[in-house]
Amino acid sequence: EKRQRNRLSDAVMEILADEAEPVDSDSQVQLVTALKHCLTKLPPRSRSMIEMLYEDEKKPAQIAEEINWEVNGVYVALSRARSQLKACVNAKLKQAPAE
Amino acid sequence: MKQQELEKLVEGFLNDSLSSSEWDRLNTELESSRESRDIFRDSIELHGGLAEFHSLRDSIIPITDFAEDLPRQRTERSLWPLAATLTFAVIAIGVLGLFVWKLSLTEVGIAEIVSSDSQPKGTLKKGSFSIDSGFAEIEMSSGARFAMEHGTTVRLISGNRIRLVDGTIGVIVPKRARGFTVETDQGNIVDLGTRFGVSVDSQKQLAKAELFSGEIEIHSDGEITTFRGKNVITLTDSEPPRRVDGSVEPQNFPMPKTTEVIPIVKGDFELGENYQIADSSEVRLGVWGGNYAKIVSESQGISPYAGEGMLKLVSSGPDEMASGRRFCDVLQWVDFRPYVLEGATISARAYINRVAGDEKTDTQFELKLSAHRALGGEKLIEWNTSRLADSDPETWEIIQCSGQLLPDTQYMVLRIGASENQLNNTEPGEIEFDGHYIDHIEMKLILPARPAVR
Repeated sequence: EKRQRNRLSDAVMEILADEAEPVDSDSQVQLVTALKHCLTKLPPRSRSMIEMLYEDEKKPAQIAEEINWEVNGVYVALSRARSQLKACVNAKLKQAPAE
Repeated sequence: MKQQELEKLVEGFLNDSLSSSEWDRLNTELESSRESRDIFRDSIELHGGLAEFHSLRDSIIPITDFAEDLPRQRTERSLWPLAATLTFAVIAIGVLGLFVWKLSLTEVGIAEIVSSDSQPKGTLKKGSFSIDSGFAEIEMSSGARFAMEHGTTVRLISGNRIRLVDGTIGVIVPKRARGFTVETDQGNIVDLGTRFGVSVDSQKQLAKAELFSGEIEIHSDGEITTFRGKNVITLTDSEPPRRVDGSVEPQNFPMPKTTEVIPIVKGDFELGENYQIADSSEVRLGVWGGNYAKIVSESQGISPYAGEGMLKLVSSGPDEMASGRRFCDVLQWVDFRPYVLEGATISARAYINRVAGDEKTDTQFELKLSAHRALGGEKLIEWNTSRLADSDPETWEIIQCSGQLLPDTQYMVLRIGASENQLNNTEPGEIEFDGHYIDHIEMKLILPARPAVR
């Protein structure tokens, strides 16, 4: 079977859909609430990049130009910031009282 | 595949920067590994949450209240380029629902530098803002204004919302911008019509708000605390917002341009208690003194400009009249000691009216302001203006006067009256002023934007 280029393949989409668990609005609220807390725990540079990406809606290349970094450096920093956020959010969600 | 490589591919996916070969590798990995799919799904979920969080901050709804508003908020978003890919995946996966994005405000100005000693005036867009040197006054599109100095960093989030990352700002919020919010990591300060200062020490994770007047709410950890009047409040990570001892010190904050209404006692000349104009030789704060004048209700076909009362100017006084004096005026000493007057401008205005009379009826009114270092002392500077009142008793004319104050001014004298510019009556029994009235005197102090006073 020929693989479709530059997007998730149909096969991957189907598997992801099969494995998906329903997510209700409460858990989305919990996620965003945890994120609000965890963003304050990020180092200033990481937080600033996350804000430029999501709040200012800048692309990594624009961020790199603005802070005078290589684009790859921005990717790495964003990836690290996401990892930190993920760890913090998971810890925070585990603390949240069960409904 | 190593987790590090997968994370790099996921990052490329989220940033829409995968090459064809990387797409192939990502597809292959996701197809073959349940663990990689879990990591991928977690990353998308986090990405959607981050987008949701930041787009919610554009709304006027306090961030602490967003739980109830989340579903409604989500309906008005449009797509961001990256979101096209993501949304496709998300919808297909059926995991996250629609994490689509608010219409980009990136290119739209949401604030303006209105004055600065170091920055050119200009529009500011969403994002981080700091200045290399000096001082700047920023006006948000909502009308809220704040001042900041070198060393302070803010993020402009929307037309009525900022985050103070580090440093100190002074804020003035007009009624139309009520709800202006200053976010800090320790809590959000929501204006309810007021002026206040905020400082953030990001190293110590400490924020402090000083409320100079009005009312604010502090939203912290889902709790809302309201403060009114002068208050010093600390915000920390570990405790709810707390009022602390100590007086507010506006001079420690850079402040935007401010207009203070200076209270003039009985400036509306309203009826009520039997108010007497004092002898002008008495030097007392907050009382009208001067020549023969009295507060009256509607009189000689002239109704007060506002309310039920107005001041009627009668004469310069028997002795003065005989000496040929041509004025009838009243004055009030006003205390200016509470104000920092560097670069300040004073402005006064009043409404004047007279009877139609005839060719001998005087028409001229005068308004004078003088600045003094001591109560009853010599004047440092004086401004005056005159205006002719028309012969239509139904209309009130405005007379106004203004000038730039000297910083060492401690007191001001506001003096207003009429002058005999047509006929100077000098004989006892003659009427100097046929029917000359004043109403609704106001005085305003305009303080320019300034850096903190250190």
